[in-house]
Amino acid sequence: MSDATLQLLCLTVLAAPLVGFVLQYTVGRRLGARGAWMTVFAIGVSLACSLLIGYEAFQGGAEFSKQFGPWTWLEPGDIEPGVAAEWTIGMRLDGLTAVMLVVVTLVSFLVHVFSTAYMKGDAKYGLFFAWLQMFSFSMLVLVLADNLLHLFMGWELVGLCSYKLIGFWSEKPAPCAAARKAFLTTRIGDLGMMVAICVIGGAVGSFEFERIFTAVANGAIDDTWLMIAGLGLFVAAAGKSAQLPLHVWLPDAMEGPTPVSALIHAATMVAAGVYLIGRMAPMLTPDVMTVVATVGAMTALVAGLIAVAQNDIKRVLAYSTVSQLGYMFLGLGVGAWHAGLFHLTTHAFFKALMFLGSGSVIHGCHHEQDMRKMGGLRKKMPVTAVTFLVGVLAIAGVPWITSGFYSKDGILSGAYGVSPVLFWMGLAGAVLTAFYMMRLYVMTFEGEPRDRHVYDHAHESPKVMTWPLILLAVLTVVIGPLAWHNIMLAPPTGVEPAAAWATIQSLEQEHAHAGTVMWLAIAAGVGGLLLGWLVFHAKRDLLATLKRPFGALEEACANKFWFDELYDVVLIKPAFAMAAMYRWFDEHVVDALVNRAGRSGLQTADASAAHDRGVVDGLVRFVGNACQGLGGVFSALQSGRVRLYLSLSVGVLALALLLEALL
Amino acid sequence: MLSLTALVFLPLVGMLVCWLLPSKHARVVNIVFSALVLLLSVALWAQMDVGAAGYQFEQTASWLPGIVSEEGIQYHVGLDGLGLSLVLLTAFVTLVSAIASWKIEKQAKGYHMMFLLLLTGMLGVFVALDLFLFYVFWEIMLLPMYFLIGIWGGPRRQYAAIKFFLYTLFGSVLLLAGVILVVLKTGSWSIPEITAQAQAALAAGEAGGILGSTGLCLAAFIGMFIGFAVKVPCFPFHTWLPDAHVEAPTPISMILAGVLLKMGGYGLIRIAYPFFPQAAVDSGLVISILSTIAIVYGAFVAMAQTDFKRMIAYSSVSHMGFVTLGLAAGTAWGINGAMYMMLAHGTISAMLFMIVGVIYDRAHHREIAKFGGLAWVMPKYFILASIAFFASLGLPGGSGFIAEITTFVGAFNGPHRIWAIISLLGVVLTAAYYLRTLAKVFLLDTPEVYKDAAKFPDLSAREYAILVPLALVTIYMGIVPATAMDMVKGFVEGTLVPMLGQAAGGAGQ
Repeated sequence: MSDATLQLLCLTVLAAPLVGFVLQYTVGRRLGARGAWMTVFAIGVSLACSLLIGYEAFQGGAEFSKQFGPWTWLEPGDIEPGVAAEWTIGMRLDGLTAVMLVVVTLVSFLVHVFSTAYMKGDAKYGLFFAWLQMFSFSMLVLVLADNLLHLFMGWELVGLCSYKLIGFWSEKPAPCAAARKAFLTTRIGDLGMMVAICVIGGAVGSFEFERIFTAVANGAIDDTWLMIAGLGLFVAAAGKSAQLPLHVWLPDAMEGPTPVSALIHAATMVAAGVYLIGRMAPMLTPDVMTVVATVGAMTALVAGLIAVAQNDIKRVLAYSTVSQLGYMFLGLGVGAWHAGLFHLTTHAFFKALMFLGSGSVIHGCHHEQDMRKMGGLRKKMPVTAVTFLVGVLAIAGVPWITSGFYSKDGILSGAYGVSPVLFWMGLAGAVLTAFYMMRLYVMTFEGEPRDRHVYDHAHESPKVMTWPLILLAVLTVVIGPLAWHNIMLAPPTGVEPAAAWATIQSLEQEHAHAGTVMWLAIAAGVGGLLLGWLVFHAKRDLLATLKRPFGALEEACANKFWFDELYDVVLIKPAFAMAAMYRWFDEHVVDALVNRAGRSGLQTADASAAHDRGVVDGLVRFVGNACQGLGGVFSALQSGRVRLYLSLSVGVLALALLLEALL
Repeated sequence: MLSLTALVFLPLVGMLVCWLLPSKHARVVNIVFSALVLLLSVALWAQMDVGAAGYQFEQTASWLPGIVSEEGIQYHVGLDGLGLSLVLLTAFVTLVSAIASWKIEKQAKGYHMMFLLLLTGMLGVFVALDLFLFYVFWEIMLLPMYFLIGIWGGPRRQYAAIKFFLYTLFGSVLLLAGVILVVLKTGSWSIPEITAQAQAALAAGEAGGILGSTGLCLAAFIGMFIGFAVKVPCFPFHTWLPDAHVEAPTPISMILAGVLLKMGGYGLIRIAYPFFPQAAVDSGLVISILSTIAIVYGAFVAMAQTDFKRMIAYSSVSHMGFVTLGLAAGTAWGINGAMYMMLAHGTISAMLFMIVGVIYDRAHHREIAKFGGLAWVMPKYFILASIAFFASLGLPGGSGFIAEITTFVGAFNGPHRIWAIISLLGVVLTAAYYLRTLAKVFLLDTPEVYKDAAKFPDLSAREYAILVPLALVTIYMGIVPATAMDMVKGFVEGTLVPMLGQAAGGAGQ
C-alpha cells in the first residue's frame, strides 16, 4: 500500500465520524432509527479503514512508522527569542496508533450497534448517536496526532463529549453533577498537560513527538524541567485514566447511559491517559516512571478493595476499570511497555463486553442496577450470562484460554524484575479482581432470585444487543494468543535511546521471569475466582465468618475510602468560601475605595465651595453666577434631551472639519 | 471612496440621516450604516497587503501646525494588520449590536445617533496615527457611552454611567499627561515617528529612551499603563466594569465587552509598550502579577456571583487578564496570543451578553438560581449558549482555545514563568463557574414558570441573526486561526517583540 493510500485511509478514519456527527446533529436526529443506522455506517467505514491500516501495520512489523504532514496550522512566531515554533497538525502512524485505531473503532462500532436497541424510546435518541460519533472522532484525533498540541485538541474534545454523554440525562440532578465532576476532574489533570506543553515548546521549539524525543536524547531540556514535564503528562493521564487521587469521577460517570460507559471504559476516554504515557514514554525520566508505577499499583489495589463492597452492578465494573487502569500504569511504569499497552487492548474488549453485558442485564431487568435484587438471571438471559462469564474469566486471567491472562502476566513479570513490593501489590490486586468479579457474576446470574418481581419480568435482550456481546466474547478469547506473538506494539523507532528510554524493557526482558510469575499469577486468578465462588455461592455461611475480622475495612471500602467527602472538605467547600470572600473583598474593599475616592472628590468640591462663599465676595459671586449658568446648560443636557446635545456635538465636529478645510 | 476617512466618518453621515428622518426609521438607518461600515472594512481588507510592514491607506492633512513641531497636530490616519483586525472586530460587533438594538423604543432617534457616534469614536481610535487625534477619538467615544448607559440603562444607570465616565476620565488624564510629556520631549505627535525614535534609542543603547531619562520613562509608562489599564480593565481598576455592564442595555454591553475593552489593550500594544520598551520590560513582573490576580481572582469572583450578567462581566475581567499576561511576557507567542485573546474575547463576550439579554427579555430577571431547565423549553437557545460557554472556557474548536494556549505557552517561556503557572488555575475555575451556570440555568428541572411557550419562545429570527454570525466567527477563528493571527503578526513580530527583546537584552547586560 502506498503512502498516499495510507494517508487517505487515515483521513477517512477521521472524516467518517465527523461527517456522521454533522449529519446526525443537523438532520439525522429527526430521522429516528434511520439516522442511527447512518451513524453505524459512518463508524463502520472508519472501522473498515482501521482494519486495513492495522493489516498494513502488521505487515510492516516493528519498523512500521509513517508520518503524514506536518502541516502548518498557525505560526505564532518565536516561542522564546530566536526559537521559532509552529503549531502544526499532522498524523503519525505506527504500530501503537494502528492498534489504538482498531480498538477504538471496533468497540465504538459495537457500541453503536448495541445502542440502536438499548436507547430505543429515549426522547433524545438521535442526539445520542451524534455525540457517540463526536466522541469517536475526538478519540481518533487524539491517537492519530503526531504532536502534543494536536493531541491536546483531541484530548479536550474527548472531555467535552464525555461531559455531554455522561450528562445525557441531565434533566436529572445525578447525571448533571456526574458530568460536571468528570469534566472538572479531568481538567485539573489537563493543567499538567499544559505545563508539559509549555516546557517542551520552549525547550524544543517544536511539539512533534519525534523531535521531542530526539531533543530529550540530546539533553535539550534540563533535568528538573524534564521531570516536571513528565510529571505533568502523568497528572494529565491520571485525570483522564482515573488514577489516584483523580479517580473519583469515573464511578460517578455511571450515571450516563450504559453504552456510553462501555465506550468510556474501553475505548474513548480512559484509554487516552494510558495511551499518552505509552506514547510519551521515551521522554519520561526514571523518577517519573517510578511515580507512574507506584500510583498505578496503589490504584489497582485500592480500587479493587472498593469494588468488593459495591452493590450497583455498574459501580463494581467502574471500580474494576480504575483498578485495571492501575495495572496498565504499573506495567508502563516498570518498563513493561508492551504488556501495559497490550493490557489496554485486551481490557478494552473484555470491559466493553462486560459493560454491554451489564447494559443487557439492566435493559432486561427494566433499569434495575442493584445486584442485591438480582440473582439466577442466567436462566432468563443465557447469552448475556455466558458472554459475561467469558469476560469474568478474562479479567481474572484464567490461563491460556483468555486474553487477560497474557497481558496481566506480562505486567506482573515485568514488575517482578523491578520491584518486589510493586509485584506483590499487583498480585494482591489480581486476587481481588478475580474475587469481586466472581462475586458480581454470582450475585447477578447464579443462585436463587432475590427479587421475584425483577426476576419475573426479566428477559433476554434482542439480537441486535446480543450479537455485539458474542462478537466481543470471541475477540476476548482469541486476541490473547493472536496478538501476543505479533510485533506491532513496538516502541517508536528512529529514536536514539535516551537515558529515560533505558528503563523500557525489551520483550525478552519482560518475559525473563515468566516461569515463576506465571504460576503465581495463575494461582492468584484462579484462587480469587474459587474464593469468590465459595464465599458468595457455594458456602454462603463462610461469608459472615470472613467478614468479622474485616469489619472496619469493609466499612471503608463501602464508603470508597471517603475520597469524595475529603475533597468536599478540602477542595470544593474552600473554593466556594474563597469565591465568596473574594466577592466580598471586591465589593467592600476594591470598589469601596473607588466610591470613597469619588465621594471625597465631591466633599472637597463642597468644602471649597463653602470656603469660597464665605471668604471671597464679588468676584466669586460673579464666578458663581457664571457657573450656575453653565450648570443650567449642562443640566439641560442631562435631562435627556439628547437632540440638543447631538446638535452641539455635530456642530463642533462640523466646525472642526470646516477649520481643517480652511487651513 | 475606499479611504479610512470615509470609513471613520461614515457613521457620522448616518447620524445626520438619523436626525433628519422620523424616529421610527432610526433603527434601520443604524443597521444600514453599520452594515456599510462592515462592508467598507471588508473592502479595505481585500485591498490590503495584510502581512506588509508599516501602515497602508495613510492619509495626512495639516490640522494645527506649529504646535510643538513644525507640522504640529495633524489629521493622520493609517491602517496596518493589527489595526485592521480590530477595525473588522469593531464593525462586526457593532453591526450585530445594531441588530440587537431593534427593540429600543425609548427615544429611539437619540439612541441610534449616539450609537453611530460611538462607532466613529471606536474606529477612529484604531486608525489614528497622531497622538492628539487618537486622544480626541478616545474621548469622543466616552460621551455617547455615558449617555447610552445613563439614559437607556437599568435601574442603577445613573450611578453606573457616572462611575464609568469618571473612572475612564481619571484614566484619560493620566494618559494625557503621558502624551504631553512624550510630545514635548520628542517634538512629534506622530505615533510611528515616536516609535521609530524609541527604536533608534534602543539601537543606540540609550537607556533613557525617548524621554532621555529612565525614571521619566518609567513614570510616563506607568501613567499611560494605568490610563489604558482602566479600559482593559486590569485588576484593581476593574470595578466600573460590572456596574457598567449590568446597567447597560444588552447591545451596549455587547459593544462594551466586545470592542471598548479592546481599546485598552490596543493602546498598550500600539503606544505604551513601543514608546517605553525598557520601562515595559522593567515592569513585567508587576504586570504579570496583576494579570495573574485578574485571571484567578476574577474567576473566583465570577464564581460567587448570583446575577447572570454580573457573572459574565467578571469572566471578562478574568479573560482580559490573559491579554496583559501575554504582553508582560514579551515573547511573540505571548503577544500574538494576547492579541488573539482580544479578538476571540470580542466575539465570545458579545455573544455571552446577548445570551443574557435573550433570557432577560423573557424572564425580566437575571438571578441564576431562579432559572433551570431552559434547555428543554428553548433548545436552540441552549445550543448557542453552549457554544459560547465552551468557547469561552477554552475548548478546541472555539477561538478561546487558541488564545489561551498561545498566551500560556508564550507567558510560560517569558521571564515570569511562575506567574504563568499560577494563572493556569484560572482554566479550572473558569470551567467550574461556566458549567455550574450551565447546569443551573439550562439543565435540571424546568420550573413551571418557564414552561409557558408563549412567554418563553425559542430564539426569534432576529436573535438568530445576532447569535449565529457571532458563533460562526468564533468557530471559524478556532478552526482557521491563521487568518486573524496573520493580521496581528506584522506589527507584533516586526516591531514590538524585537524592541522588547532588545530592551530585555539591555537589562541583562
